[in-house]
Amino acid sequence: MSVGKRLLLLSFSSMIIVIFAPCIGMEFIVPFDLKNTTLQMEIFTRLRLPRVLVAFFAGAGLSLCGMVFQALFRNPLADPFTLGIASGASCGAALTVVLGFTGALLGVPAVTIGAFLGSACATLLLFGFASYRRSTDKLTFLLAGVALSFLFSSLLMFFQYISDPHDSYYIIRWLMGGVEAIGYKALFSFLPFEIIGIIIIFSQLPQLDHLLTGDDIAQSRGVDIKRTRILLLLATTMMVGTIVAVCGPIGFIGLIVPHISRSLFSWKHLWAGPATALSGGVLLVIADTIARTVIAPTEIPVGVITALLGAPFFLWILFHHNGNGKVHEL
Amino acid sequence: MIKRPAKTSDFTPNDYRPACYRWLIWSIIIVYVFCFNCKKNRELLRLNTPKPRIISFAPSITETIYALGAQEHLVGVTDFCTYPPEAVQLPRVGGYINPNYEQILSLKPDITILLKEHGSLIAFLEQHKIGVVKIDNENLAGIFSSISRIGAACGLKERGDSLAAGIESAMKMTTVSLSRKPKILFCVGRDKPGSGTIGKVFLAGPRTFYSELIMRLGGENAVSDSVFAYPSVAGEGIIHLVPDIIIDVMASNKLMDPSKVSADWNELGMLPAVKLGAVYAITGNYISIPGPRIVKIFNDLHRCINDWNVRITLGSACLRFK
Amino acid sequence: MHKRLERTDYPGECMPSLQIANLTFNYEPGKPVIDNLSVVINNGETWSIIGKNGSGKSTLIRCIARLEPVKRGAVFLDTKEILDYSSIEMARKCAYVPQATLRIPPSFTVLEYVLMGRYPYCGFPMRYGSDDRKIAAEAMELTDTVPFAHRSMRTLSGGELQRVFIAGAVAQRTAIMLLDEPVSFLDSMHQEMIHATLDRIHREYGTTLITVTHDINAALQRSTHVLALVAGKQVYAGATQGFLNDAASLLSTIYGITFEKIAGSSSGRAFFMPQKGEVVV
Repeated sequence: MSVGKRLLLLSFSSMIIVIFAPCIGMEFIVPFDLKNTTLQMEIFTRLRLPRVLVAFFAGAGLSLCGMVFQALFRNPLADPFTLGIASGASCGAALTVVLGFTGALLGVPAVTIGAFLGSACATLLLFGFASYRRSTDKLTFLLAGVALSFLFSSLLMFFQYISDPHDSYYIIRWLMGGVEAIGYKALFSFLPFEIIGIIIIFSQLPQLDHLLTGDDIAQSRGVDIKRTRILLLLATTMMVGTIVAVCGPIGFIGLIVPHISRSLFSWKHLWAGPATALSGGVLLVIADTIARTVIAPTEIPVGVITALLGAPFFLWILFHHNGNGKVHEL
Repeated sequence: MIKRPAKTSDFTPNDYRPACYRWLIWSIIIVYVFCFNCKKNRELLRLNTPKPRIISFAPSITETIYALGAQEHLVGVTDFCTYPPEAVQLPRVGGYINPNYEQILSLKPDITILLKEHGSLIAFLEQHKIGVVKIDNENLAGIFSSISRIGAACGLKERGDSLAAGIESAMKMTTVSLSRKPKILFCVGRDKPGSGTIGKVFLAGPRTFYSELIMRLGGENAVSDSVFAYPSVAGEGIIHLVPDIIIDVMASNKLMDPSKVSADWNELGMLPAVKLGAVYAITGNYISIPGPRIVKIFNDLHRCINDWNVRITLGSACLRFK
Repeated sequence: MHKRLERTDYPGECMPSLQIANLTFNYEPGKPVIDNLSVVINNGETWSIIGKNGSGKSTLIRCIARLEPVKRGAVFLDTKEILDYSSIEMARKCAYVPQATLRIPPSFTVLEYVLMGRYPYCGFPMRYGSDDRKIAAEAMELTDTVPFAHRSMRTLSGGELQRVFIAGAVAQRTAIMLLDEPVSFLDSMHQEMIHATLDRIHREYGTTLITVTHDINAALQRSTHVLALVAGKQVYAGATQGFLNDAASLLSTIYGITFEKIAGSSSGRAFFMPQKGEVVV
């Protein structure tokens, strides 16, 4: 099957899954069924649909960011979480909550702004470190990111620690992650930013291919790598910040989905980009559907299911599906 | 072959090992038996000292000791013991997960009172021959017997027993006549309080003392069965529990505006509790402390249920007039 | 046979030439890697840059390719300073082939990689058109890479990989091609193949080739001009014939050992062999 056909199949099946997922829950609800009570319709439109959409777009955004980071650093372990950018966002969001900032600025919730500032802070620290050292060594960069990640995680734990022990529920979202949402407010607090981010990333997909061949070749072929880097970092920082503000850390997706889509679809980012976004979204939708139905009404943290679903699949690909060379090397 | 030179020394290790070691082993056994006896004696001694030095390892224990008037014995409390305010002045021995072992030893306690969940700490204390009183606060019966046992440990057995009996009778005296059995959703914490929406919600499960309080007041816990003590539920799950009353607890020292906290629930307008306006936010850290102030929790719950009762009877009265 | 391209096939303007004026470059202050270097390279010439390891050869061509930020001195391309070109314009004038052996190749297929060389000619939607495919196919034919067009670059041998990198640069259709040690670490047969490929590129397209090399004999046999560097300073820059006239002494200044001249090859140029026992380890 050609890559195009496979992508078509993926988009078709993800459409079906996204349409089908809101029907599943504690009871099966078919939309537009005349026998539905108003309560059922309300459950469908105000609870399940927004939740599925949040899961889809959050998954798509996080996995795209992972793909971008892996190409930018030519490192299979790079992702917003290992580089500390998501931890920065979590930390910013938790700090906003601990300091008691509520309300909104220009329609953007304070938590989202806090998370964005946190992720921007992490990105600036990371690149400030890199430009100070004039380091082009990607491994040093990755290690600096890991150090930052630990720094921000420990800051987050510190916030939790110094605040009242009974307050720990407040910031549990940024410790565990989840996509629970009621109504469309949560979705619309990050979707505009994500759309801008996706447009930027998709406009830079061919440049990402060139970055995989190495900075010097990319540059000699006319890729303005500085501009591409800045654009992509801006897009990913914005997306990670706004998504983490709503969903908290859902770490596994950004790391694994790009590898899966690269090996099942193509190494060319023009194909891998849409494939990553779609499969990341669908993976999170499936994981969340399982998380909220298996022992309903109690819910399992979605991160647990994502890892339980993704890890074996990833291992299978790692050992059996060796399409283009080794899956884990970039 | 190279022959080794003969040993110049007269006695080889084999010569003196049996005699010497036998003595060593005997002396170890004697010392051990002696120490063991001493330990037993000392333990008895400590539990019977008229003025024991006590460390409390939970806010509920501290509050109980103060309620018994035995605070003179108290030499150490946890970081979280903030009630009564005098308790803050006492030396701190850390928190639940990070007890300060050095501080504990330096306070030279005779008795430590702690929860049965304090696994490694109990082992540490026993190793250092410090008296340990384990209490179990999981349910109401446990809480009452804890109070009696804390009294006994302080040497005030009668006072402890009467305090426990007093609390129990205070709860029995309150009789409730309700139009029907309300389903009560008891939310012990959630993310994003005051943000205008409901995310993850942690509920009191059927095996908690909150559930028992609800049942004593003639209500029914909306979470009828759960494997978890405090299951986490979101949107649709809450709707399926169909609560008549929502009690949203902000067990925090940071005072949040209760009206803002309860306003978050308007997002779930389809719930009977929200329709009736029976969403109650209770703020204050006593709610998570199963000590003598449990009466206060009980009274809060009582007030909520009474308010619901008024609302529902007025509601049905209105319907009748129509 | 390959069609001969007309000069108008060049995207750039007529007669590209490269002028390096008083170029000084250093990574750390006070330690110039390239020291006050001035060379004029005319269109259609083939240059070899020789020198000891660490004499600044690779840095020089990286400076020309604008991969290193030049701070003192200037590099002019068609009378315009390279810093004034946009990235795309620069990529249409000058291609760079890095040392293939120093990198893990990307997982693209050979065809995908060569097509990516058409990047500077694609507009915003970034679709490679039929023209681009034709040019890429031509570049692959020229470099003998057609047989493994659909294999992943990860599976290629060193010689094959080097040719693929060259094919990518050919697809860029530039007037100048910079090559960093294209034949190092290759066996004689593959070295010869690379040389033949480069000759063909020069013959077919009239590309100016600037090659960093350690193979002095190949340099002296094949290139029209030689640039010799010692610790970042130029000791010779000009026609190969001029270098050959004084080769023995120049080579000993460059490498610090004496060379033996072996006269008489098919091309009429002499060979040079390092003398035995010169360097005491």
